[in-house]
Amino acid sequence: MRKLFLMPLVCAQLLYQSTHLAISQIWANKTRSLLTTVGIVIGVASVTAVIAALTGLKATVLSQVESFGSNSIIISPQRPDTGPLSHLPLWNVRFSAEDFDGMLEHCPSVARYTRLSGNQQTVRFGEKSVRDVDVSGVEPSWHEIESRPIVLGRKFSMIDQTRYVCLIDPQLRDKLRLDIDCIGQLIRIGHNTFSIVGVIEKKVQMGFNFGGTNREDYEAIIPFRTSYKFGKPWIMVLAESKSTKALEEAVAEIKFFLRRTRRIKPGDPDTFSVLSLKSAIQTFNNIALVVTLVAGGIVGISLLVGGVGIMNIMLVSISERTREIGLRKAVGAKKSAILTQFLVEAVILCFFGGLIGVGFGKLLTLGISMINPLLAKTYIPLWAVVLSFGFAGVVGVCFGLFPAIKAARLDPIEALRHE
Amino acid sequence: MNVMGCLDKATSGCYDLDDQDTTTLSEVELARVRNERIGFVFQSFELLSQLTALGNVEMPLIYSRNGWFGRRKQAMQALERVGLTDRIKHKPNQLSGGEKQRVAIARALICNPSILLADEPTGNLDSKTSEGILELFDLLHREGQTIIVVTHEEYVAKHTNRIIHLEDGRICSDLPTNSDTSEKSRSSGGLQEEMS
Repeated sequence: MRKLFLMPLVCAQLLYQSTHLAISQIWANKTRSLLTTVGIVIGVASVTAVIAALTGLKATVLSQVESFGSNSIIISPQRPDTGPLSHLPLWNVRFSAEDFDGMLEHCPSVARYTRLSGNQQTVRFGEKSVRDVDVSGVEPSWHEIESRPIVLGRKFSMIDQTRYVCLIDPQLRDKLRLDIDCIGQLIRIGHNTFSIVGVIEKKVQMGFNFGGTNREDYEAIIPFRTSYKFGKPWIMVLAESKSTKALEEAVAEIKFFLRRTRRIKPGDPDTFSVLSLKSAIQTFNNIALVVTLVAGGIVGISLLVGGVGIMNIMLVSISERTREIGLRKAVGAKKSAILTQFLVEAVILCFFGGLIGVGFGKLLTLGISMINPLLAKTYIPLWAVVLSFGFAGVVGVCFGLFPAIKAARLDPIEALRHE
Repeated sequence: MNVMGCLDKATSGCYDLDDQDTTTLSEVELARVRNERIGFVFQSFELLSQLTALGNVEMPLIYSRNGWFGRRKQAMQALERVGLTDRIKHKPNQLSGGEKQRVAIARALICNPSILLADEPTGNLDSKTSEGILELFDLLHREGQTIIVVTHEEYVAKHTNRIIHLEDGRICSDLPTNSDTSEKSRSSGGLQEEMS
């Protein structure tokens, strides 16, 4: 009974002693220990950096997706990869506005949709002009799908369909030196005069501008049918399913509907793509998983190499300290005590490497987050730190076990006679 | 010597320590015997160079069952017994040969062993320091410590009150010396081993 009670105390004591010994031993061989842990350091640093980068990327992508609406479906023309159409210019498979007439009746899972046209125009007000303004044509339902707040004025309504009215963003208003309350003022978009009916909040910056040139985007929004008057624009469609559950169904219905209106024969490939954000997230997650696995493999190899390094140095250390082991045994150290001492030394060496590794990982992460705004949200999640340390510990145990057993098995007399 | 210290097992025959046959003991039990009942003093001191004198002395307590509390204090007391209170923080390479052997003796004494085994304790020391070590042994013996010394030197053996003379692995003689008559119940033994 007494023995049972003392067991944890004895174990704790042994562990404390071993830790103490191991740290003093590592401290005594600073340079050697540091060099030994390089493999572990690299392994742990890369695992934390990779996880941090992926986490950051995920956070950015998901926040952008969420700002867009999780029930959204993007329909755009797409040239098929095979068949006779695959060589034609993309213009040949463009949508016409009539392609989507009657879509709501035929697609019960679709709540609403809007056709979008887009081009870039020069916008003028008096002497001031701004080039390359993104001018999008939208239908009134657009306000419900992409719920961007109106700062001033009103939304588009059904009566605006063919009128020369527009919404602008506050930056464009300021750039053109319009009044703060600019409702009713007239501006020229391209060759036509539009009346401003509202000011709309700026689009959430999609961070996909690699290279860092953060061009200022100015935006003007006009009714879709008005934009259709100036010639055939490039059309895309933004739709929304009735619920998140109905998203997949909505996608299928739209595909079926479009194949019919575009008269695609059975067996021929689609000339459009219907992309739900859910499937986009799925795709992203799949890519992230593959990257994680590949990185994990590389990290595994570097940890393996690091582990062999640890084992090697432990073997050297044991042969150097054979006499010490003999002496410890002579004064009463049990096998288990010697085993624990060397095992703990290996594990601490690994943890030490893990610590430096996480530090380097942090630096790498900081570097990564500065390279690209898309990765600005990069951070090291706590579980990654725990995982890294866990890996380091496992490596320490695995590769420290053999040398430790070797040390524990030494015969005290032979060890004491060792030169 | 190694058999007596439970470091080695005899290939034949048996060795009883305190009426207990050591050949039947497990490895863990033998380790405990070495820790609690036997103190070793080696010819070449066997101090750990990275530890201070104090660290070396307290080392056996690390492996003992009740050495958890007051380890430092016990080690100080042991160093006091061998007269090295001013060398506590010194590393072995900062100590003289005699001092090193005193540290080793303090280490052997720390667990209050029933037997102190000394294997050629003066073999690596000059005669003057040897005399100091032998005086220390005498002192410890007077305090009641059983000491077994293995030596080739006649003058070392003279310090004891029992000499067992070994030649070619056999006991030739087992005589009490008259130089020191034991008043204590415990006796100090000298084992003179002659290799020819």
